Amino acid sequence: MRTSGYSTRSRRGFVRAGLVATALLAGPCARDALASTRRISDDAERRIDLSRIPRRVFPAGAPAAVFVYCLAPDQLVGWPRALRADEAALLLPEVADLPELGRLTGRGSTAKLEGVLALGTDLVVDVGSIAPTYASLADQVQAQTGVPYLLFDGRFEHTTRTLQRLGAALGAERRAEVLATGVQSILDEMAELRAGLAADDRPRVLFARGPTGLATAAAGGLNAEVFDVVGAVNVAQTGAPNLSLISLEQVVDWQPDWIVASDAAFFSQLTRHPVWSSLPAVRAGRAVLAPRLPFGWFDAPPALNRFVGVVWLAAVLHPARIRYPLAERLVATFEWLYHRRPTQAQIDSLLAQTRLPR
Amino acid sequence: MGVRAIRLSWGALTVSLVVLLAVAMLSALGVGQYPLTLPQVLQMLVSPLADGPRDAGDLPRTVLWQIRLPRVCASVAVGAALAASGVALQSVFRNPLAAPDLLGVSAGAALGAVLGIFLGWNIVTIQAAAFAGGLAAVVVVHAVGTVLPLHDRTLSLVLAGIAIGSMLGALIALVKTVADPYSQLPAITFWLLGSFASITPTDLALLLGFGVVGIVPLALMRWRADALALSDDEIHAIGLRLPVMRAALIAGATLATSASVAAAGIIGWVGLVVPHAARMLVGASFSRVLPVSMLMGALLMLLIDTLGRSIAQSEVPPGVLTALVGAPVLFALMLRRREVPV
Amino acid sequence: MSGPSQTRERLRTQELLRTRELVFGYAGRGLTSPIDLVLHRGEIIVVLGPNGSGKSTLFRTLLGVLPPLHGRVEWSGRELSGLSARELAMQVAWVPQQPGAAFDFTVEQYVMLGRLGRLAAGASPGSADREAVAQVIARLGIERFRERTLSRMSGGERQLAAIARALAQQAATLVLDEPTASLDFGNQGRVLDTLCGLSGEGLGIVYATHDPNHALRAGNRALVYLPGGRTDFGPVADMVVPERLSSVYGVEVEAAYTAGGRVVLSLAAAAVPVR
Repeated sequence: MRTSGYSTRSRRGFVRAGLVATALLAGPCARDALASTRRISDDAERRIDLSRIPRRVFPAGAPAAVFVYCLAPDQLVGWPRALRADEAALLLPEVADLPELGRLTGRGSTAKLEGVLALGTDLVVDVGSIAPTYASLADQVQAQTGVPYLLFDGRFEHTTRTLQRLGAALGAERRAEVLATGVQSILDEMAELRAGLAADDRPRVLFARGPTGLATAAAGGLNAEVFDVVGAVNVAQTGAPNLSLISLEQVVDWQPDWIVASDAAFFSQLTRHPVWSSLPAVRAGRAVLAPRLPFGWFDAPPALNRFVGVVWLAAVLHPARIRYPLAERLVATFEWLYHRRPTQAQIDSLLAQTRLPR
Repeated sequence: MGVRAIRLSWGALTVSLVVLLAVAMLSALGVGQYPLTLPQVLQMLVSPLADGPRDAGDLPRTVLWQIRLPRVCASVAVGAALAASGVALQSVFRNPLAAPDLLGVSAGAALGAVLGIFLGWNIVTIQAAAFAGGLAAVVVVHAVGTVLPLHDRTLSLVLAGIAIGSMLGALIALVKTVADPYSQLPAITFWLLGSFASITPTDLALLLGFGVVGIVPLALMRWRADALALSDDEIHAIGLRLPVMRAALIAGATLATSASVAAAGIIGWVGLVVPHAARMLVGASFSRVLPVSMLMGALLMLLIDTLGRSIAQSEVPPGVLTALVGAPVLFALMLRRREVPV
Repeated sequence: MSGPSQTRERLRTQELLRTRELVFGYAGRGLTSPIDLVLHRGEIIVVLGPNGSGKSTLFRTLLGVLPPLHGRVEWSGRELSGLSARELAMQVAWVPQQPGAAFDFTVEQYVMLGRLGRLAAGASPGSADREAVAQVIARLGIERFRERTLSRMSGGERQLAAIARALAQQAATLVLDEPTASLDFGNQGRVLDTLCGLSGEGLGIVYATHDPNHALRAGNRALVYLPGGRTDFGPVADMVVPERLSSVYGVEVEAAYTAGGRVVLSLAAAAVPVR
């Protein structure tokens, strides 16, 4: 007796194919379903329920943008400030092109809350201070927009933990592990370096910020954390919480071994200035300009990008103890962090700008 | 009885102020982070030329000649310039509450500097932009104030100054919004607060040059400026040309103030309070108030800068200290002031 | 006539101020009909008119602050518009209605202001200036106020200081806007007598007053403002009479005679009897 146009065997094949197809399709959905209503806890002890992997993540400020880019670049919706051409040249082109959003927090907000909604944001991420001010801002934005808002600690020593927590929220746990392992190995390397340094081997460094070079980051402050990691001593022991203004006289009194500048215009006239040029550090060529591509290597913004600065400054300050070739190490670091391998020429030109002209 | 007691002999007061200023400057040269004793300072001042080529490692000499002496002289010059501007503008506006930035010079200079920081210019260009900005602001205010069809010319100048000053302030706020919060905004904030920390000998030379040029018209007009206290018709009837006098005083005050702001940032209250105090000591005549104000302003600024660089490990901006000191002093002075019929 | 008396005659009749068909006002609107007046050396012209009739505006026009709408103003035969500020200051000095200054000068400093028009740029007042100031202060009898500041003086004392300042200018004519307005009875008389004395010394004087009796005490000629914007100029004896004054002020004015034979003008009986 004939039941249909299909033979039993082919019908079974269809059913098998259908089951496999369903299983394949259901996999990601199942994973999402398994990941449904995850309870994420941020560093301000706020508990947020995320129902699925956030595909469109809004960075509240520059540090958050760096973290999200490094962890999950295809989940980023934009940048606080549109990237310049020289910055974009070192990043993934399609992500670098994303639009400018403005800052949602920290030092004045310029982003529009409606913009958050208009972009179909799934999650707002902020990395930086977890003081009650910013925690309450997070609650406020979340209440107004209905979009979950996570706030993480931006301090150097918490980098690994922030990576892991943020990675979990973004559904990028594997990538977070890769980054955390790399960060930890750099920190271990630096700890070993510091252990081998005698007290008077530690170079005394002045962080000369700003167009006059006299706005420094005080020892113990957020902007100068890199120095402590690389075994340097920050001469600016002014007791200020972070940034403070010093005088030329203090610089002369401190007689730093090294000067790290942040402003290119200031750096270019260092050898012509009547006072700065008389410092032994400048005369011996021990003055460097901290690069800022694609993100500041030291503190602008204070986020994951600082690890590039750690790798570089350690090699600059301790050439005898550092065994890695700097240029190659930087290429590798850039690729590992920023998903894009720079050319040798790009790294060489970056390094060339850091030195005083002969 | 009361009249004689307040009016000290003008000559004696001026001489004692000069002596006091000289002593204060010498003492200030002995203050600072770098350990320099006063005998060392005196010895280096007396023998300015080192034997042989100047050793770049000769730190005491560098600290004294390149850092401390320019700084002390600059604070003296800025104090004198701001006080003189205050006297001139109070004369032009017939109001003892006029201050040097009434016509927008500080706002214009600030905008110039803030733009320079935002665009990444070097410090010399930033200072030039500040100077030019201050002059440009007053030129615009003067032009607008002259065109406004108000019967009272001084009122129209004041209104133009307020309006344009606010606009410039708004533009500064706009730049602060778009500036990078990690690299540019701190520099902008520090510049606006003011500082003598980075004065070089070149800065001092420019400050003195422009300051002197600005003070010259004030000095030339020190007797005739008194007539500005009368009504417009009376000044005309005495045979003086009011528009010319007003323009000369405003131009001189603006040059002096612009140079000060370009060198040291925005420092308020000196131009407002010092002429007040001087008038209480030597009477209302411009010819006396001007030199006494300049000396008192120089002393005040020197004291404030010396305090600002020695009371804490980091610098306390002079603008902050002048405001903290100036406001209470002004209230105290005004409580003792009598009403003058206009 | 002999030489000196001819000179005296010429001096006495020297014209200090003349207006020809002068029309003055603001924004193209004349406040009165054209005015022709003449002031000679040693003469006093009194300007009489109701409040708001434009006495101050006339003075501003005479001083060159306001341009005339029609006609000319001539000082010592020279047209006003052709005079420089300094030349005009030598012709006429101005005493405003309520003198004051934005800053609290001493009387000596205040009177010195009158000399400032003569100073070159950067020059200080010299001994000639200081002597002129001292003389003028003595002339007006205010030596005891020399070091006193304006804020500590009464209105009348300040008025005298303002007159001293105008005198220190050493101009040929004095123009005063209601110099007696805020003075007490005694001081009014003193100021008027001072004006008489000054005109006796050869100064030309023009002043405005709200009290016609002042014109009788110190005045040779009068300029009166009549209703409808008309004016009249002539000897005081002709102008300051009850009939004319009634139309000037719009009230009944009557004349009375004192025991000494002097004329006193006063308002007639009130329209509504006082209970």
